[in-house]
Amino acid sequence: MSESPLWANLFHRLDGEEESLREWLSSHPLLKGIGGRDIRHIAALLHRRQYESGEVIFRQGDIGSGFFLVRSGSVRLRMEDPRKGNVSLAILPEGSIVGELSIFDNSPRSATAIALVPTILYGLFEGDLDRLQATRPGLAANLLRNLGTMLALRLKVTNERLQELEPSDPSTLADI
Amino acid sequence: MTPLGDLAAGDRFLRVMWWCLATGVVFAFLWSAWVLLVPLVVGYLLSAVLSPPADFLHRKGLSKGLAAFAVLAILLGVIGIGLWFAAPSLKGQYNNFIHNSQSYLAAVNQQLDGVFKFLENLVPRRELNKARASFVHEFNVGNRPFHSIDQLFNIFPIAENVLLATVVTFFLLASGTEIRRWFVSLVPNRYFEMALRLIHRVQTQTSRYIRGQMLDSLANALLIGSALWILDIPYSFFIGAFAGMANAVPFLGPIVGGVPAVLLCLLGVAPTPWWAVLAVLAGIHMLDNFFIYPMTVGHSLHIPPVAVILGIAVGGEMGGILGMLVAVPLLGILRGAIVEFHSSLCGYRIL
Repeated sequence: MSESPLWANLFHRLDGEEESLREWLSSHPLLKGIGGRDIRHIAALLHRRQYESGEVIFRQGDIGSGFFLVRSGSVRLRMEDPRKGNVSLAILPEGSIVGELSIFDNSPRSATAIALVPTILYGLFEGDLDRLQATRPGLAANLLRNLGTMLALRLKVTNERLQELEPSDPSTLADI
Repeated sequence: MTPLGDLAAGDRFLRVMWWCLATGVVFAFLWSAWVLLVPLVVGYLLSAVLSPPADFLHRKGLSKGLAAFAVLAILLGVIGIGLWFAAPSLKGQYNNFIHNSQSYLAAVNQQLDGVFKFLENLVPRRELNKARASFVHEFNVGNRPFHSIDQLFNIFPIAENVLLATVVTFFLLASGTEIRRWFVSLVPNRYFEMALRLIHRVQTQTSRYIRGQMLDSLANALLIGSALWILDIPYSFFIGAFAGMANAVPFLGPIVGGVPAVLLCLLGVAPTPWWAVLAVLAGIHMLDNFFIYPMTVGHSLHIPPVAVILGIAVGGEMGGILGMLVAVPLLGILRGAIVEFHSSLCGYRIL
């Protein structure tokens, strides 16, 4: 029987999925240095969503209130530019983080995220993070520090790529 | 979502069955919600007030269930101890009130004579007599003095609703996150993030409002009760508690809350001049307006006066005096929800 997102989102957490999620999370850089009991606590806060191939996860300009971890499948980030049309920014594989900036500033989504293949995501959102900060501030601080490290790493990679570009045409750099 | 025509027969059958089941559950819920409305609302309000101490205990290492149980046990214990110590005084005031109620009625009738003499110039005598008979009947049915006070408390069958509200509070404190997660899992992918954000914002805003409003009412009850006790007004505890609750209703609440004390002075039951009581109540109201209310509730959920009056009218029609008292906080919650809902729909470009 084909599995639609409705069924998948309603009847999940079967076949020891919680256990496998905890194992997966324990090896994820976002939860680096966080103990087993705390990982269980965070796993209980995550929202599991399943997307079909081609289904939009969020749209550019939508209000963002959290981020997703790609558990399986892959996600394409696409930016709608008024001059260049749709620009593909990146393809994010399993283990990536999608939409992490909005957890800090609630800003509108800067790109559209689309599932390239059937994809399972786990989301952590504003309300759950607020609750985590209220109930376990130390754990929330660790989580946010790891997220900051991941963002810093991403910025570093972007800077290196920019350095690799020949600044023969300054406008190219400005565009980037 | 996949169109129904594209699905396999088995999947289509399951989906139709699912929607039938969901519709049935919604109807069953609406059917039973009417009976459960009061405990559900009270349970929600209580859980919003008690969630910070429950979160604190959870942070200290207790499981969520144990933290919820401990908070409820402490609350019930405090109420129980309070009642244990206050019971003799409360009973004395109640007995005194029942004992004197006939003389109060006689005094009210005497006062009414003057009012009715004046009104005879404006309204036909027959209509006036009808109104007077109805008023006296309301307060003195079957020789039971002040029958309407019984009616007031009968609206809220206390033991049954307290028990149900406690159970609802416990489950919301212990499993609120799971209940919310389950609910959000039903929302389609397109609206999932919006629903989650909406629930969070509405919950945060209403929790603050309810906590603030309760603190404000408590402060008013204590201030008015103490002031009336100092002024030697009888039933100061009851009047203070009533004025505190009535204070939740903007505009009319402070007036209605002050009426019993002033009325007791006018009837000659209390030795204090009515204008002194009025001046003290006005002072407390100003203190509330300028200091207590801004510190506890703030101005986050300002409700337009017309909505307040309509809310009180509808609340009174549906649930009597308690309906009137509950109507305005519920309006505050509803207003917060609508504002957030509209902002979310615009933010996600659905509107």
